[in-house]
Amino acid sequence: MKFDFKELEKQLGRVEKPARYVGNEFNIIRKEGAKLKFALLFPDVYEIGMSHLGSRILYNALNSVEDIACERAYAPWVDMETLLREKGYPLYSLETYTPLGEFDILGFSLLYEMCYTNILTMLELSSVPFLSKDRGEEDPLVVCGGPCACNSEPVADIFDAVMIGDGEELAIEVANTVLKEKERGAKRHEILLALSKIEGVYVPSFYNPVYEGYDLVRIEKTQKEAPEKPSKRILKNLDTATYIGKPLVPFLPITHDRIALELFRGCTRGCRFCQAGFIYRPIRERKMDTVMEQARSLINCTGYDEISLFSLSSGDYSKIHEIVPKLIDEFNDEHVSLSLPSLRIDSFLKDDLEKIQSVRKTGLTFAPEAGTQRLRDVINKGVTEEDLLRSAKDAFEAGWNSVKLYFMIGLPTETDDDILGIADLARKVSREFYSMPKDKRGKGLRLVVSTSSFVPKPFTPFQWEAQDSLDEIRRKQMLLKDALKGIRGVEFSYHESTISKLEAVFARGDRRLCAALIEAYRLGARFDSWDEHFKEEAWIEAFAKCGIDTEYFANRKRSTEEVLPWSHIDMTVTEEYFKKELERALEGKTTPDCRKGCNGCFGKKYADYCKI
Amino acid sequence: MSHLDVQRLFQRAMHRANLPMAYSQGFNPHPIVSFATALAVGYTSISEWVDVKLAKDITETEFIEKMNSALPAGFCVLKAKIVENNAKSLTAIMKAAEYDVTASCDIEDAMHELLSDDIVVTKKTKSGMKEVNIRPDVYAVDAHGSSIHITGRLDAAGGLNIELLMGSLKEKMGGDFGYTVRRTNIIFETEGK
Repeated sequence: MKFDFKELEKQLGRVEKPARYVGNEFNIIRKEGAKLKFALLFPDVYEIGMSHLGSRILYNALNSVEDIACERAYAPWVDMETLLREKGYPLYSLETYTPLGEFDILGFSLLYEMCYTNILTMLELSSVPFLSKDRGEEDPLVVCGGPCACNSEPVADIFDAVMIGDGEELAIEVANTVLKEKERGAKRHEILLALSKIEGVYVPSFYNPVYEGYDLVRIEKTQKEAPEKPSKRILKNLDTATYIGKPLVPFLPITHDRIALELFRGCTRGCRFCQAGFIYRPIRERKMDTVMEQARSLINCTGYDEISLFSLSSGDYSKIHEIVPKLIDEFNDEHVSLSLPSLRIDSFLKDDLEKIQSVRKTGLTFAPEAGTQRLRDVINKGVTEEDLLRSAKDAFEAGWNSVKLYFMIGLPTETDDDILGIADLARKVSREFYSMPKDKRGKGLRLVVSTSSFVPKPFTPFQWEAQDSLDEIRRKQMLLKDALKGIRGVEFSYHESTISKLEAVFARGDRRLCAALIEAYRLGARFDSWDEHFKEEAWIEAFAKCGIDTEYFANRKRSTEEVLPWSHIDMTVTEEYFKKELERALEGKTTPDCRKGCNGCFGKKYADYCKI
Repeated sequence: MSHLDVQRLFQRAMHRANLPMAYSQGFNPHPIVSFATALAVGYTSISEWVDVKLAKDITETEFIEKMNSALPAGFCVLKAKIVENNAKSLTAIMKAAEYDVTASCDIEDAMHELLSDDIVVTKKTKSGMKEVNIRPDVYAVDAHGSSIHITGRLDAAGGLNIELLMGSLKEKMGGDFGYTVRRTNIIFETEGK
């Protein structure tokens, strides 16, 4: 396809934020004459894709290999999609303005289910067939990775290969294998066969789901040499691993416009709703010295004025009380501020918070997740009301007056008492603020109570649980809204429950959903996680047309004996462990943090994978 | 890119260049960097001016070299001049600006015709819509076919809005056409700054 970016550039005045489509960011990597071209694709808008740490790591990792040129593209916003279609232009990479169809590999990052329609936009604008089976020898290999790769079944017909687990070594190995196979003249099928032997690669076309009636009864392996159970890839050492190198500095403000320092991967807490808490196990920390070195070099090569500590629960970092003051000291004169998202309310960080305050104040979010101790025990969120009130008090005393409380609605075993418990907690936090002397507290309290609807996810103890029906979620939202009335300083924010239901369908869906996905796309579905774009009618029509029973996937309590669409994938934590955890949940029993003693989540096979 | 984007880009480049930046006082200290004027989104420019305050004296050459090693492609410091701490800001001494406008059709005659009379446009103001004559803001025009060079008022209070001028021209010609705008110069009260 012949494509002249200069011609397109003249038209860019017609679209919102043209800087999304021109590249040229500081630290951009352009490689001439590399043997393999890898397009790193993010199926959402530029500002979000550029904020994804994993993509930043892969960009640096892949480009560190001499033979590989890794370039980027993001989902074009609807105005840009219209422009490209109108003019017959292809989607192109931001580094060299090369049409994506000319790449050897198209690699998508799948961070959430609601971006799936954008994959189709990106493929269609690249003239690459949607389905793996329809692609020919000349087409790029289409692969994916990211958390959604642990159940990629709803998009399995699209992807030639799926990368599961940590990507920094895996993506390089995949690219090198493709290059080696292509150089020896291997056909597509042979390349896939070679890929399937890499630890962490799943080739969906080598496995075939078998249904009886509407139920999935087994998954048959159709390729003798492919592994019985493809397993996730684990990066063993974060200190020796490649990080983000000299990261791109965008022209546009992006969602996370700062330096992210990853403290550790994995989490030991075991909150039963949390997929990240299980799929990123085992826990692996970066040494403090490594993090400090990275901080210095990243600030120097980007000019950023903000650092954010990145992990699933930063308060759990073994050196957290040392690294916070160290970073503040190091960068104070340069006016670089530090932010600490993902802090648990039971982490004792009062002193650290006060120091952060001295640099710059950012918002604080606490996540009790559920309104009563009973329900927090069910979900194994080991925090108490005392923890929350103490943290809130600490924050108020340190001068904060804007705090967000985050909860989920529709958790397993939830009753109206648990919903009313959310309002109770909010009331107590509000009282905590207003009981302080006027001269000691900030001006007015802004207490945001934010709720989302619980979405059961694969590879969690709640993977068999039902999501509440839309009516039930809406009823509970209204119940809470009423109960929050009259509490000083409170604002209530909640999510559109229809989108949560769609997310639930795709999170635990199987291969039959792919047809509905394509149909919804044809009917105009795009950017489904964006309220202003979400087209409910398109989805309803698509599901009806394809005979998909959405309640079957989202709202049905599954038997623990069922074959799950992801039963043939090995994510290290065993199914037996999830069953045991589900039982304990329903009995209201908590499971301690595994830093305090191994709970055996990996079973025998991987027992020595965890160093704790 | 918006004006804010350009400001941020310049500040980050200063940080990368390891220049001794001076910060404002107050709760949210920020580097003291101030462009003489904003550039409309979509316009290009070969002449923008910016006031920068540093915490320590450095030479003009050092500033230019360090900045140019840290700025992204397409941005370049061409000239720098040390001024007294109490010097008036660039914005305060700015008088006029020059632009090159390139249209997709011949606009020479229409432009001359437009300039022969008042150019009354409707402007949005705080108190609602208001009719204004922008002809006095146009200081000089040199038109050749589809290219015109315009000098117009630009000071702290505002100035010639190229979009409004081109809008009036389109109205006069009774048709739509595309055009690009490049700022080629900003003129200040004190020459040599």
